[in-house]
Parts: sequence; C-alpha cells; structure tokens
Amino acid sequence: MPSRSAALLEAALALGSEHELEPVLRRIVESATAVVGARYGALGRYDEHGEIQAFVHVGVDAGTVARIGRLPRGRGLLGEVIVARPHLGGNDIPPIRETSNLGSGALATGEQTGTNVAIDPLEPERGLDGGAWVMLAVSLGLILLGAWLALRWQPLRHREA
Amino acid sequence: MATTDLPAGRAQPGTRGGAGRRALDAIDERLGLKALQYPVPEHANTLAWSLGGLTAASLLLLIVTGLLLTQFYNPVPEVANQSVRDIMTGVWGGTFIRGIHYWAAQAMYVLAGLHLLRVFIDGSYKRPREGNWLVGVALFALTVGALFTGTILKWDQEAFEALGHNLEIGRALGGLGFWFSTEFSQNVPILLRLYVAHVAILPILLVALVVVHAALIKRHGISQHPKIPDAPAEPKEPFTHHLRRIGAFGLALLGVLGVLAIVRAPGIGPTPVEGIEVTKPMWMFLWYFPLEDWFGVSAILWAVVVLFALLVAVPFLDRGPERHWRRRPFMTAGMVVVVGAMVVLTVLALLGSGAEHVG
Repeated sequence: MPSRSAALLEAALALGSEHELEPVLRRIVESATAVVGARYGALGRYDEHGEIQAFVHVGVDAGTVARIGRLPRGRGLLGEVIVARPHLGGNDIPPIRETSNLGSGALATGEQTGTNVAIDPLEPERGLDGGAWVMLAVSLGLILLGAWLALRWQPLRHREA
Repeated sequence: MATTDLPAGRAQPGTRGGAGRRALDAIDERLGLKALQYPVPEHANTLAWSLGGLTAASLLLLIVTGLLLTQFYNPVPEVANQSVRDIMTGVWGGTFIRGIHYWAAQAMYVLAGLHLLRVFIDGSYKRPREGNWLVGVALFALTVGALFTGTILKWDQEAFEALGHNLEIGRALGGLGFWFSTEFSQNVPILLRLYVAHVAILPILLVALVVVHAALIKRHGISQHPKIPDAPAEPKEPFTHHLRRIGAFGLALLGVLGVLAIVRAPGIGPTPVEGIEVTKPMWMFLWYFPLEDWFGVSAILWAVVVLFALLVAVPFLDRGPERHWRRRPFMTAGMVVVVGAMVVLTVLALLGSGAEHVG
C-alpha cells in the first residue's frame, strides 16, 4: 500500500534526521498511527529495569491529557507487559494490527527497547445488515414460540400472579 | 427389528404414539429417562419457581457460546484486545456470538439473583434444605467470579482497571491473596491465569455444584409453597413437565438475548493505559464504587465478605418453622436493607464520573 510505505519511509528518515530522543519517538508514533489509521498512539521507552523513561503520545488533546494526569511509568500492568515480554521470544512480538494494540515491541539494534500503545475503542456496527435482520427475526420468533409454549404448558391452576 | 425382544408392557405397534413412542421407549429402556417423570407439586411449574432452571439454561448458553469464542480469543496480553476486535470484525457471526455470551452472562447473574430472592422470600432454605442453600450461595459466588474474569479478558481500559483493583485486593488479603498476584507465576501472565479460571476452573466448579444442587433438590423434593398449607392435596405433575416449561422459558430467553445481541452488541474499549482510572465496571460491580471512594479499596473486599457472610448465615439465623415472608419480619427487613443498599450504592455510582473516582 503506497501510503503505508510512504509513512514507513518517513519514519525511517525521521530516525536519521533527528538528534533528540523525544522528537524521534514522536515522529515514529505519528508515522505508526498514520500507518494503522489509529486516532491515538503512544510510545514508551523504558530502561533496563522496565521503568518508562520517555513516553510520547499523539492524538490526545491537551485538556484530556490534563485530566488523565501523570504519564505511565511502567510500574503497573503496562510494566508487567514489559516484564512478560521475554517469555514470548524475540520473534514472537506481534506487529501492530488494525487500530489497537497494547505493548507491541519497538526494536532498536536487535533489542526491544520500547513499547507501542495505540488506542481506539471499537464499537460494533449499529446499522443492521441482511444477516442481522434474519437473526433478529429468528430471535423474535423464538420469543413468540417460547412464550406460546410456556403459556400452553403452564400449570392447570397457574399462580404466576 | 425384533420387537418381540422388548420387555412385557413395552409399547407395541399400533399403540398410541406409533413409531415415535416406540423410539422413546427404546431410548428409555437404555437410558432410563422415564425416571425423570417423578411427581413434583404443581407450583414448581410457575415462572418464579423455574428461575433456577432458567439460570442453568443461561449457563448452558454461556458454555456453548464460550466454546465458540475460545476458538478465536487469544489470552496473551499483547494480542488479547486485538483478538476480541478480530472476533467482532473478522469472524463470521463473531459479534453475535459474543453478544449472546455477554448478555447471557448478565442474564445468569440476574436470574441467579432472582432465584436466590425467591428462595429467601419463600423460606425454601429451611430444614432440611440448609445445605442446598449453601451450595446455591457458592454457585452465586462462582457466577460473580466468572463474570469478573470475563470482564478482564477483553483487556481494554475497563478490564485493566478492574484487574488493578483485583491485584490491590489480593495484596490486602496478605498471604491469602497469593493467587491474585503477578508474582505467583513467573512464566504465565496473570491474564492467562484468569483466562484458565474463566474457561476451565470456574465452569468445572459451576457444573459440579449445579449437579450437587439438583441432586439435593431431588433428595429433598421441591419445597412447599408457603401459600399452599395443604401440600399433600396440591396436584402433582411429572418433573418432565417442569423441564419442558423451563425449555419454553429458555427459548424465549434465547430470543431476548438474540435481540439484545443484535441491537445492543457489546463493544470493546481502548487498549489499556497504565496509571489512569477513567472507566466504570459493569453494572453488577458498581455498588463497590462509592464504598471505595469513602473507605478505600479494601472496602470492596469487606463488602463482598459481609454480603456472602450474611448469605451463608441466613439458614442459621432463621431456623423457625415460618415460611411466609410476612411472618419473618426480621429476615424480610434484613433482605430489604441489603438489596436497598446495593441499589442505592449502584445509583450513586451511576451518577458520579469514572474520572472522579478514587483509584
């Protein structure tokens, strides 16, 4: 896909054109979110103890950032994901897919040094397609059938009231 | 076919029912299904007295849909959330199956709660059924556990925050909370262990206790209706009529769940971010929410302990012969206070925002 290739190329170039860590990370996250079409994205870089030293995010407005408060530091379950990663094996680290992924590996010089977080809630399609209409009709039929049978089989001196 | 081999009294060709009846007789001869036709009092076939059977029907639906979901869900933390998204977007009928599972779980909780209230109101836990009441309370606890682990598995922000509370409660339990710790197993993430609990440990215990529950009902018989003083004079019906009426209610229940799964299909939240608390749990866990605000996270533990301690204590506190709720004013008042408190706390939690909640 040309747009993805362009975004990946841009990310590669960003690594060479920036000399400060945070701008490089930001360019990577911006490119990654563009590649996968995510509204939000973040990348944390952690040290050898698993503590996040740098955490950059894109797509979240300042007001939301202020409400969220402090940034993740890798001391909770995100840290657990980092710690658990060695058990996956280096080649098993999953790629970013679709628009959501927690903790996909960021590799540098063959070692994983960061964790990607891309965020986007997924709501099911609210519009009903042909199959959904059929299932809806079947479900309504089951309600009617069940109610009819329940009435037919109720006790002779029923006491539902 | 050598019908002459059939025992005496077996239906013969030309008798009422014909081939269908003969087939049933043949099956009965081998499986003894007619033993289910033992008489039960007529009131057992009312909806209120069928709530336990409907709870079991919900469990059956959960097992079937759960088996389907396990084919596509991946409990490895890095891909768990994505695998749920894939079920919704890439698996044929995935959203519908997940929707049935999601709504059946809530239906099971509601039906189990209503069944528990029905048993309480009618005093059906009294001698000699105290033991079966305790089995029922254990089943309710397992149901809550299955619901909780189920909400964790989708591994979104809500799940992540719920697990965070779970880990804190595990720490509050001291040594007893060893299982609810990320340190318990070096090689297996806690999400994977909760998955094992959800798909194996809890269902096995649930099914085993349902068998015990049903066996004890058979042992003691359906309890007497408090409004029918002359129990021996009440008409009887075969237990199979009770089963078929539960089947009818179950069909209607499946239809309702199907409609909900289509018009109110569950979504999935964003992948979790550490260090924030912005979500609310599912409605049945909301009553803990204000308690945590007021007294800290350990209040969740104490609230659950007190609720189940009260439930366990019920048959020991109320040992008199009276069955009608009006003639058991202290027990009835206690039930109203407990249920009322849970409702009020839930409403308070609904009114507040998740972001204002202390975590």
